[in-house]
Amino acid sequence: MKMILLLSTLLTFAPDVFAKTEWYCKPGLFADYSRIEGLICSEQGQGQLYCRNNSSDPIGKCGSFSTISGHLVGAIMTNKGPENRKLAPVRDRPATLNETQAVSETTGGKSSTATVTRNVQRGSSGLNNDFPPRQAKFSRSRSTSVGYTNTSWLAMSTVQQAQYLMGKYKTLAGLHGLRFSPELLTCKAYRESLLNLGGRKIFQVQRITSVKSSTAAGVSQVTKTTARDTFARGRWFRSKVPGFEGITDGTTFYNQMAGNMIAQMEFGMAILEQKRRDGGFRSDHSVLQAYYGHPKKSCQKNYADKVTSCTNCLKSSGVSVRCLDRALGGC
Amino acid sequence: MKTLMICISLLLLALPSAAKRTPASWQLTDRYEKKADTEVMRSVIEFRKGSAVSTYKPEEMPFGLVLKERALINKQEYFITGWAHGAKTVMFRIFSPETEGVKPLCEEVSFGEETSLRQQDDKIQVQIFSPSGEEIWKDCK
Repeated sequence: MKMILLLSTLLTFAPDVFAKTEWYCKPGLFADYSRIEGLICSEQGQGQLYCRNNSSDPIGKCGSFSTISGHLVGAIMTNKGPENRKLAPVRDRPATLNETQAVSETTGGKSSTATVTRNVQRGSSGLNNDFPPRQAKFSRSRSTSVGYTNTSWLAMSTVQQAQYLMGKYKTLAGLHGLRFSPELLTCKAYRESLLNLGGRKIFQVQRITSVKSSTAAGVSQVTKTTARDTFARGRWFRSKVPGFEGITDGTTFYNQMAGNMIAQMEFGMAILEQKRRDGGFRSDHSVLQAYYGHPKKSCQKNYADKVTSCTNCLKSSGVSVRCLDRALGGC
Repeated sequence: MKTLMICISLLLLALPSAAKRTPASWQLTDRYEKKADTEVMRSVIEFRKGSAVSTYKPEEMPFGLVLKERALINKQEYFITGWAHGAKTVMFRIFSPETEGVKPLCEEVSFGEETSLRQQDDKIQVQIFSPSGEEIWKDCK
């Protein structure tokens, strides 16, 4: 452990030693987290690190990384891979929050050769529509940061989209102090994005070319009346999404969130919380039944059953389309 | 005789204006109130006409009033109230305070935020929308 910490410290303060290493994503994996020079490639659960020394070398797995609330907090180089013992230099913005986590990994009985821990910045910066950071820069503007209209977003697999949403939901729930799990919120988003009014979908659909002002398109599509009510009665809610913090009425929020996926995710979570408070519910299943608002009780139960089944599956076996699809079906 | 003529003339003049006069209408106001046994904020609506006041407090969800419109059908006053029901739905509660007091004529859940009232034969119908956006008219009374 002491050795790991020592190596960590050394690598954190002397990153230039490895500045010439080139990193590539394995085909089929998506580049993420521009904090590290080169690429870290997303996979289910903990991300895997792939690398090669130059473009003529084969790409090999050479480590893994971990995140907290969507931020990279640690990476491990394993003994395997073409560039073992070499860590990519860190080149991102200065850290402000003392939130570190060393990743522990054992690969085939061999311990990691190096670990790097980073202080990460938390707060509203974690809520930008920032995916994928290398291919597209999303504005903090309320009107232009539409993640799901971006071609890069649409090019992602369902699993990659779900992983991205889970990270954002984790941050959102943490910032609001709510206990809804990111798995539940992601399953809810998955179901709603495939069933929502007007055929507007988030997961794996065609580009959305227009957003009607009367209807918010996105993962947490809600009625304008519900938006107004949430601000009017749910006075606890104040947005944490950049650009939305100062909004104090539902109509304004509703009209502006149509252009921001994260704001919609946040608001869907807020309404879920409001339903919990209104009904005094203790179980997530009861909250979900009250959330959808279908006139048929059986449909509300079906909605809650499906989302709960998906949630349990994601928690037990990680993100997969098989689990996500459990959220679908029924009325 | 002259006095009688004047009285009849005045009466004739007064009658049409009395017939034209619009009857006093109900006024609908709303406010927020916390439920006594919980911290839940709910909308309370009041129908007021002259000194008459009728108060409606929802005992069950939905609790939040988001729409209130007055409609006049065959000289009968109706109030369309919309309540934030689910994330994707609105519940319309229709009132006729003159005849029914604060008991809703009907409660209908809609997947659309627009609505209207109409009379079809002897029935009052409210417009709602299905999950697929199809327009439906539901009998309210």
